Amino acid sequence: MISDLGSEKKGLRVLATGNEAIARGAIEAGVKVAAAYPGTPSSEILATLARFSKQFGYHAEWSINEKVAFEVAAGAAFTGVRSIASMKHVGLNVAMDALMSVNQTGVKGGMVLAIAGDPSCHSSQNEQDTRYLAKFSELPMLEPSSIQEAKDFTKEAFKVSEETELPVFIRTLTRLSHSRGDLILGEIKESNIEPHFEKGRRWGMFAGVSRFRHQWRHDRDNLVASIVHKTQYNNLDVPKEPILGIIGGGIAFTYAKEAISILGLENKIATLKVGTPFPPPLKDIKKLLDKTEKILVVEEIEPFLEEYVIQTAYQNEKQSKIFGKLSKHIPKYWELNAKIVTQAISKILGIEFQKEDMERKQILEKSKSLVINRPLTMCIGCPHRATFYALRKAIRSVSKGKAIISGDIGCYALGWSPPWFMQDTILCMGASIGIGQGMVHAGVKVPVIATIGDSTTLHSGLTSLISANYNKSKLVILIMDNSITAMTGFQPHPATGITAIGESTVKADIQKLVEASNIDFLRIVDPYDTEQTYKALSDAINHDKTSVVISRRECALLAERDRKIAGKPRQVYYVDEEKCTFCKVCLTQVNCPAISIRGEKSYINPLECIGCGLCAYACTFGAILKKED
Amino acid sequence: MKLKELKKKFSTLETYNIIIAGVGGQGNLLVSELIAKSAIKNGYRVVLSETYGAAQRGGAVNSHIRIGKNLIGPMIPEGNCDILLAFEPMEAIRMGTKFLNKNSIVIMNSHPILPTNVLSGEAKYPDVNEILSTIKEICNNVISLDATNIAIDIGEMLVVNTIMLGALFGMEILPLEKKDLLDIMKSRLLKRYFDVNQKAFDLGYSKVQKNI
Repeated sequence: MISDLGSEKKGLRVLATGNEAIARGAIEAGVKVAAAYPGTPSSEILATLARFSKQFGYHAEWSINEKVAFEVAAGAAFTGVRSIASMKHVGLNVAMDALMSVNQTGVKGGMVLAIAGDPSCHSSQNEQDTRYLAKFSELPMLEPSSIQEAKDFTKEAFKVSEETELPVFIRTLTRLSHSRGDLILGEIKESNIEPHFEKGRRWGMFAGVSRFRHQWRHDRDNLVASIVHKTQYNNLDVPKEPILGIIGGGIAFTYAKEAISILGLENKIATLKVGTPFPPPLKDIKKLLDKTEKILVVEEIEPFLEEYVIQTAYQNEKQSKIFGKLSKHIPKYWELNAKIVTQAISKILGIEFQKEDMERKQILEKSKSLVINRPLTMCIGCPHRATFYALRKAIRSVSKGKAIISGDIGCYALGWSPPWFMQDTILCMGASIGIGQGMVHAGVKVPVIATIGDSTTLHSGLTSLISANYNKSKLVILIMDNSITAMTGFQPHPATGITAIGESTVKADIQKLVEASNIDFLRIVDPYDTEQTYKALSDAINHDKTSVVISRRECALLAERDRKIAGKPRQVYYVDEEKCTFCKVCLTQVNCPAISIRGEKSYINPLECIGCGLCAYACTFGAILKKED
Repeated sequence: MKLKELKKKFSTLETYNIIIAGVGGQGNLLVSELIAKSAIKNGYRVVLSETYGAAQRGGAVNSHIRIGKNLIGPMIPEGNCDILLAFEPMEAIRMGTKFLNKNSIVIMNSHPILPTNVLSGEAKYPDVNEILSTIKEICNNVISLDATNIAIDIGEMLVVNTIMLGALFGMEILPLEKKDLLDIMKSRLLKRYFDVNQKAFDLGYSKVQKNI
C-alpha cells in the first residue's frame, strides 16, 4: 500500500500521512530539488520524497542542516525549477538568515517551504508559532486542515510561488503531519523546465540594492493578497441568522467543527476556515463580522488570527464581541481539543452542555490517581547508556560527583530523564558546546562536559568546537557518536557514507575534522568497553585544555535490525540468582528496560536483552553473566 | 451490555472511534495501519492520529483511529472512545480515564511493562487488579488477557500487538473482515515475520472467541 503513494493512477485512493501527502503534492507539481534536515514531526516529508526520487527523476537530499537545505532549494528555484525545503518549526530558525534575504531576491521557479510545528512540544524544545515568521518574512503561508488539503495545498503552493515570485510556506502541525487518512491522488506533472539562471542585480543583496528589493516585495502586496484570497483555501459558511461565528485554521478548525457537532449547532454557527494565515483573508473576516456580532477565534498557540480579527473590526467600526485567547476563552499554549472548544462555545452562548455526574467524577478521580508517569528511556543496549554510565563513574572518581553537563538535541537528551539526570541544560541544536564554554569562562568550580551527537556535531557543533578550542576553554566535549540521526528515525548524515536515497557516498570523518582544529586531547572509545570509556573521560576531565572524547558505537536498534537480517545469534546475559544480593545497582544505576524484578532477585528478560554487557560491568558481585550456548 | 446487544449497537455506529494504547516499541503503529487499511478496503473513510518521535523511546504511545462515512478530524473527543485496545494496563487506564464512556469496550493486555522510574524505585506501579476493577467501574465491557505470556510462549516478544489485534477481531464488533486484514498483513510484512504474526493473531482471536 505504501508504494501506492507513487502511483501515477489519478483518482486512486490511498492511505497516507500528512507528511506523505505534502511529499506527494510536490511530486505531482513536478518538483526538481528537495532538501531537508530531519526533525520531528517533519522528517517523513523528505524521507518520502527520497523514496520516489529515482522513479520521478528529481534530486532529494538530507542537507547538513536546515540553513543549507533552504539554500539548496532556493538556489534551485533561482534557476526556474521547482523546489521544496522541509524542516521542523525550530529548524526554520536556523534557516532564517538565508530566508530573510531570499524574501527580497524572490525566486523564479516555485519554491515551497514545508514547516512542521509541534504544539504541546511532543518532540520539541518549544512550540513557537511559525505563522509569525511568515508575517515577519512577508511571505505567503498556506495551512491545510486535512490530509487531502496537505497534498492539494502543496501542489497549489508552487503555483502561488511562481505567480508571486516568492517562496511560499506550507504550515503543518504534529496532528496533521502524523495523522493518516485516505488521500485521492492527482495527476503527476512531468517537469520539462530547463534550468536557466538569468543573471541580474536582483540576486545580490548588496548595500544599495537590498532596500529596493524590500520595496519590490511591497509592490506585490496586492498581488499576494489577491492570490491567497482564492476560495479554495478559505471557506466561509454562513447559516441563516447565525448566533456565533467561528474563525479557525488547520487542525484547530477540525476541533471547532467537532465541537459544533457535539453541541448540535450546525445550523446556528457560521464558520470561516482560514487556509491562508498570511496574508489572512481580511475580506472574509469582514463578511463574517457583518453577519454576526459574536466571533470566536479557534487557533493553536498564539492569537495570530485573533489580532487580525480585532484589527478588521476596528477598521470597519464594528462593535463585535471577539472571543479567543485574549478573552481567555481559549488557552494561549498547548494543543487544543474538541472539549476546550465545546466549553468555550458553551460559555459564550451560556449553555450547559454536560451535566455534572458526581458519581462518575469520583470514579474518574480515582482512576486518575492510579496513573503514573512513564518517562522516556534509552533503548535496550543503547550505547549512550554505557557512555553515561562511564561518565558518571568518571565524575564520581575525579571530581567527587560534581560536574555540569550541558546537553544537546538527540537521543542522548534522554539522559535528562530519571534516574540519570545527566543533562543539565538542553536548548537547541549545537548549543551544548557554547553554553558549556560560557560556564567555563564564568569560572564555575566544577568540570563542565558538553555532550553532543554525531549528526548534531555536523549540523552546528563543529564551529563551536573550533571556537572553544581557539578560546582556550577547559571544556570536555563528549561526542556521543551512534553513527545515525537516531531520534528522528535513522536518517543518514554526511558521516554515514549513505545518501538520502540510499546510495553510497564519501564519508565525512568526524575524528579528522576534530583533529584539524588542532585539539590537544582526543580519544576515541567504544562505550561497550565501559572501563576504557571511563578512563578516557577521567583523563579528559583532568586535562587542562579543551578535550574531546568520541564515544562511538552504532545505534543498538540498527545493530539489532542488522543482526536479525543477517540471522546471527543474539548475545544474552543472565542473573546468577545464587550470587545476586538484590542490591539493585543494575535496576537503579544501569536502568535498562530488559532488567526487571522476579522474586527478590534481578531478572534479565532473555527475549529482550541484546547483550551490551553494561549490567555485567556494573554488577559488583559478579552475578550477571554472559549466557554461553 | 450483553455481547449480542453490543454487536447490535456496533453494527449501527456512524463512526467507530478506536484508541490503541501502548508503550513505545510495542508495535502500536503497525496495528493502527492494518486496521486503517482494511477499513479503506471495505469502502470506509478513515483518519488516524499517532504519537511518535520521542515517544518511541519507551514512552506512552497512542493512536486514535476513526472509521466512518463522514469524518471531521483525526482526534477523538474526550469520552467518545468506542473501543480501547490497550497493550499494557497502565496505558489502558491512562487513556481510559480521559476517553472512555459507560458503553465503551476495553480489550486489555494484563501484563505490565514497568516504567524505568518504577524499576529504579522512584514510583510505584499499582496492582493490576486495581487497575482492572477501576476500568470496570468506568465502563461496562472489559476483557483482559495476558498477551505477553502468549508472546513468550511463541518465543517472540514483538507479537503482543498482533495477539491483541486478533483479540479485537475475535470480538466481531468491527465491520471488517478477518481475511482482508490477514491479506493486508501478508502484503505488509516480510514472509518470515508474517508467519509468526499470523500465529499470534489466531491465538488472540481464539482466546477471545472462547471467552465471550
